[in-house]
Amino acid sequence: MGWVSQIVAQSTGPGTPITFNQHIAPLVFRHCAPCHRPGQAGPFSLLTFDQVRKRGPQIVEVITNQVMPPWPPAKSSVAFEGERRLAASEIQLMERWVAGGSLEGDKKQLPALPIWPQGWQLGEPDLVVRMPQAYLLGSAGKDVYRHFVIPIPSTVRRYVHAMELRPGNQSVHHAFLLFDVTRQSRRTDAEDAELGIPGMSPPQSAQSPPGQFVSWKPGTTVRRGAPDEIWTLQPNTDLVLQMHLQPTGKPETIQAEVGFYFTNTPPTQFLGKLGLINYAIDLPAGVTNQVVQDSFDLPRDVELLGLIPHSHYIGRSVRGLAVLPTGEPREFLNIPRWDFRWQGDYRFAAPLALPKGTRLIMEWSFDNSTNNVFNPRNPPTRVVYGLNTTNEMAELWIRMRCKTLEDQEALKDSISAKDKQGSIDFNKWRITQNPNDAMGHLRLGQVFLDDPKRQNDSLRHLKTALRINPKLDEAHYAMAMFLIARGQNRMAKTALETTIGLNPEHADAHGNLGLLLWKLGDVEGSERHLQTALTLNPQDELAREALTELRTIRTFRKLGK
Amino acid sequence: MHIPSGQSLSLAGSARAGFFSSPGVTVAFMLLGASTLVGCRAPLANAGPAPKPCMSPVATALTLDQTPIEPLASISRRATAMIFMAVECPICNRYAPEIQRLAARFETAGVDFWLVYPNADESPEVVRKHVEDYQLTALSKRVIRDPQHVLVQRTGARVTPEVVVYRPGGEQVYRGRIDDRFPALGLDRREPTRRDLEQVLSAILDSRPIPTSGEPAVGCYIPPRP
Repeated sequence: MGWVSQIVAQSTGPGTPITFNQHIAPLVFRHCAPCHRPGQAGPFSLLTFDQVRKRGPQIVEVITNQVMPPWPPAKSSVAFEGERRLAASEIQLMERWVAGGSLEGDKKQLPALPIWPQGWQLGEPDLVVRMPQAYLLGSAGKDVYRHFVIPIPSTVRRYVHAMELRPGNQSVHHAFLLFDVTRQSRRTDAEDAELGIPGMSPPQSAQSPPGQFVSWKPGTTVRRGAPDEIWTLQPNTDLVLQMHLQPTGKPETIQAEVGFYFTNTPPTQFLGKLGLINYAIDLPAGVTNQVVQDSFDLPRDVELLGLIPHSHYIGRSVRGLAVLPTGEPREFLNIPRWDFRWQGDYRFAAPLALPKGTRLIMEWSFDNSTNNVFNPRNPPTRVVYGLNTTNEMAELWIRMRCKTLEDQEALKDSISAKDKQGSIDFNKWRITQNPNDAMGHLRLGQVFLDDPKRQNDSLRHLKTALRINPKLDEAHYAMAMFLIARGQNRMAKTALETTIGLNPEHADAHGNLGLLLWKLGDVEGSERHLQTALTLNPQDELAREALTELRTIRTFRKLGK
Repeated sequence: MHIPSGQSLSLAGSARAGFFSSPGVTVAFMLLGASTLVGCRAPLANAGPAPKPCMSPVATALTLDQTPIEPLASISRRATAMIFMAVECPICNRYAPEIQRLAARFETAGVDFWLVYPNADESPEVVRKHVEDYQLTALSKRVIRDPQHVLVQRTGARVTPEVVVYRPGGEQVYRGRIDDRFPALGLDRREPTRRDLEQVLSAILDSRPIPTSGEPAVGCYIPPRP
């Protein structure tokens, strides 16, 4: 609003002719032109009288329907940074202009075009990485979801305060920037000849940066990160670029690049990330408004910083609610019409302080009927939870900040307990759906591994997973952990060797085999595996310490001789 | 209202959907009439040889070589489909592969596909490049411009991509969307659930009743002539 509404108030009384130069250009330059100009995401430009006149009725239609500017959240009591909404008065002005014959007006009143940054929004980045090869998107067909793995050539630890994605092609609809300190994403990518990893779900080791969400959608502006947005980029990390590509009607070549901006200031804030997730999604064909919830009680005072809602095609709406200990509800997110294509992360304009004991509630509604234009199944069929495009998800991820390290630890413990219970519930449900679901058994085996009371359950599920799929490296690895805890070192060694045979880049298997071999007296073998572990995962401090110690001892021994 | 005589009337009189209901009806009649008066008429169905280049200022559609053309002149086949297109219309662009598919399927069966670019500011060069970029060159013999909106007014087309289907004799039998993939601006299905144009053309070829006279097309509004 601001100066635009001032002009509107001064000069738009009834009977005043509405002109492009006086009334419409300021509005279009501010709200539309940032994307609707050459080289940006908008499919056509809106910079001149002719360009805007031609599309007058279309503009009125899309701003009235709130399709444009693309900003899915409705106005809530809590504001987001960078909200892109037109005031009702601005929409009326546009309608009046078109109804009045789309007059051009006095050229002297035409404001200058805004000055947009050329090239990178924050100037030349400190480091630019690019997709090693271009991906070719066909002219037609369904939307494509794909992950591209890009090695980051940084051999030292860096502190990142900003990143900019330049998709370089209009077919890119939205993107998430994930990071993998293991080699798992590379390995998955190498499984077939085509560039990238298909689907909506990245490999599990590809994660948002610690304490952060990084996403891109058309119109995303980049700014210098606030102190809570600084994070540590570990050496030899891979960027995993998750992109949603929409065919444009002609073949497209996509080779996105990402610029990193570093700072000398390390992250200092006590951040946490909470996933409100409901796994028990079971949506019969034809339901129009099935509500799915999850909640979490804050164990300490926190400030909410931002969020990402996530579901697939048949999400209908999503709300985020904080119920204060007094019982007072506070809505902090309301997307009344979910559109998968415009998803991304939102940052609150100011941190939202919430006291200990506040209940955070996620409420999704799903429409699995033919009323839902985005429903990919016609006629609709039953849909259950899952990571594929044919399944559904109901998530609300929330970034938060604590005052102290102690608060942060308490928050982490609560979140971890919640995640563990969520994983148990989900995987139990999974194996009731399919008793031969090896991954379901593996996950249960893993979760119970840490629980002294559930050791028998852990062993049972790991054995079942291995019976169903003897080539599951993670199951052999989990079995090795189970055996190590019981001092069955020889058997554990075999299990770790099997793991590495199946996945030579399993960093943790190398690390633990290194430690085990040392215990078993094979110093050379130990050194070799510890070194491999460290090469694969430079963050493995245990392997680093062990290797240093091992080499010190060997040096002393040599000196002794 | 000026009622033109002769063959022009037979075309106008037989047009159905979108012709009498269109606010442009008077203008369309007058234009057709005027062309008869100056002796540079738009030839009609089964009206003999192809039109001679016409250099008079009378409004006509134009080929990319700027030659006047009347798409219905050659309507000796089973049907004619005119698809209104715009270079910077994202929905037109996303339909390009479907247009290719439909043209490939129906052209050999006797349907002529015309791509009509009605925006006056889209030059022949710009249109030619669009046809190449979007791999519509199989249709390039029947890509035309309509800067004076002769065809826009005759057909009643409002948006791009809108399709108008004629039968021999000049009877307009369909005006509307290609399919239901885009229910409104900003909304699209992964796949259409009803392929209107395909159903209409199949019905014509099979001599069955035409299932629909047209659901509204969704896309970019055709701007008024400058």
